[in-house]
Amino acid sequence: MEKEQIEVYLRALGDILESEGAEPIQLFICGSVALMMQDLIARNRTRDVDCAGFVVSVKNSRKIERPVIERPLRDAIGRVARAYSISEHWLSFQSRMLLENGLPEGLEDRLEERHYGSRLTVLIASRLDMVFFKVKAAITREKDIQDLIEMQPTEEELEWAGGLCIEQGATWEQVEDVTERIRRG
Amino acid sequence: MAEVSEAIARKALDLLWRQWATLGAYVTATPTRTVVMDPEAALVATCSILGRKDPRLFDEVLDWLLINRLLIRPDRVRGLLNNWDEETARVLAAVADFTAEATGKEFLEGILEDERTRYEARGGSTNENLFAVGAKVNQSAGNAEPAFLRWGLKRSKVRLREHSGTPDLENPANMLLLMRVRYGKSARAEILTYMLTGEPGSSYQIAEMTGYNQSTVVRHLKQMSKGGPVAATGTGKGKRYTLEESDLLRADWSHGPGEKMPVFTNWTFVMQSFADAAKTCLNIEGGTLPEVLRVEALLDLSDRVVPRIKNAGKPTRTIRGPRSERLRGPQGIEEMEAYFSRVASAVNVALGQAS
Repeated sequence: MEKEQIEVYLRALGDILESEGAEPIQLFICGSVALMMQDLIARNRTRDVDCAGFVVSVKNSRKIERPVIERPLRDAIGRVARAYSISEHWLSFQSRMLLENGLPEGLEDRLEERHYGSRLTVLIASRLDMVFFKVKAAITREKDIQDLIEMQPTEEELEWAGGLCIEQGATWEQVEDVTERIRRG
Repeated sequence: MAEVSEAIARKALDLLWRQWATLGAYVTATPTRTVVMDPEAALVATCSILGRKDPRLFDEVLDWLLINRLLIRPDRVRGLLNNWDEETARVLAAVADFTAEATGKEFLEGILEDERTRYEARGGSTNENLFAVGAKVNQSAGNAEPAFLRWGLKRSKVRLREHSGTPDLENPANMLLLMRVRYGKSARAEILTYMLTGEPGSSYQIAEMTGYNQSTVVRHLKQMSKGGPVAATGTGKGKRYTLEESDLLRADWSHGPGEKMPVFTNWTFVMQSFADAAKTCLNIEGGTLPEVLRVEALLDLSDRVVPRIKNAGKPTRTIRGPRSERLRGPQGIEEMEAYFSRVASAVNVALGQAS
């Protein structure tokens, strides 16, 4: 799907949730779509909108939880797919395992908020957090290097992201390999 | 702006005028001789959103009912109503109430009772205008028609002109009514008319086409299989019913040399589809639906009406449905209008050219 269509589909999802009087939902997005929506990369096509979790508000602060997809949301996703003749998996939850290793501290406060009606809010990981997610992914997945090169992360951002990856179990050599390839461009 | 919904309703009303002209109403339309008429289906369609757009036709039908009400079979009306919305049933109840009052005789009494209970359960009076367009309504209570007002429908007093005639039974299109003269008040008339003018089918298909429930149809088919004109082949769900010596029977029922057998059309399927489309398009034309709900409304409408139109009979069987990729686009509503134009054209071809 193309970048412009992502907005159309999210708006449609919001409209359906609104028309059904569904409970408000806040989606946490941190895949390639997050980069595209913030114009951090030139690429404008992606396979799906990958949602890593739901954002809930607890005492004036945000908390990201593992997504539990209930009927109203599942039905609404299916209806958008039918209306626009796209895959039922246009909104996927494959990256929910990202939550298992813990998220960067303060990520919730750096989220960019976008509203699609009163029942759907999309919270997008910030540029800094996306550098971390991409460095971590690039350790095992070649295609993420290209996204990082396009993002042109600063040395400070790479150092912060690399340190966090090592905290979460990556080796110094793995991180250094990724950062070196980014520097080479 | 309500152009497409109006255009679709107008096409349906043109078809409805021809049905009523064939049935003997005092309307300026050319009767057909080539498609079987169904008075109950025409009456219910007239009480729908379609008839409510045409006060003149509506009042001619009230006029027709004055002398022809006994031609209307309550059990069939009740069965056909299942295809329509509650609003149509309420208007039909008002028409029945008015006809009973005007003639001093009971008319559709069972339906009236059911609808009265349902209407009261919903809280009674809504006081809306009966006619959606074109009616000059004098709002004063003294000028309102009481029978309609009782159903929360405002309209001025009906002026019956008593111009209506009775259906011409020499016209092959009124074969169903002629069958009723011969077979009386049983489902046999409809079943045989369908089998003579339609196609062999299962009891389910015959029930769907004639507007009776399947058990009634099975009972009559079994009776007619015992030394009667009906033969059954196959078993279980594959069981099909045909007419024995059908050529002989057709010759017996034909209206003279050169006169073709009329074709059977499920008028309820056709008219209800038009009404459904007019209502859906009117909702879309309101302009408040978000894009996704507009697209969904058109796709849902297509899913509902295309199979019904295909199953309505030979005249509409091969009509291409609207293209779903176009329904999804900004011109989706026009794609739906184009589809209903094709349906109207096909039915008009079957009805024969209007002079």
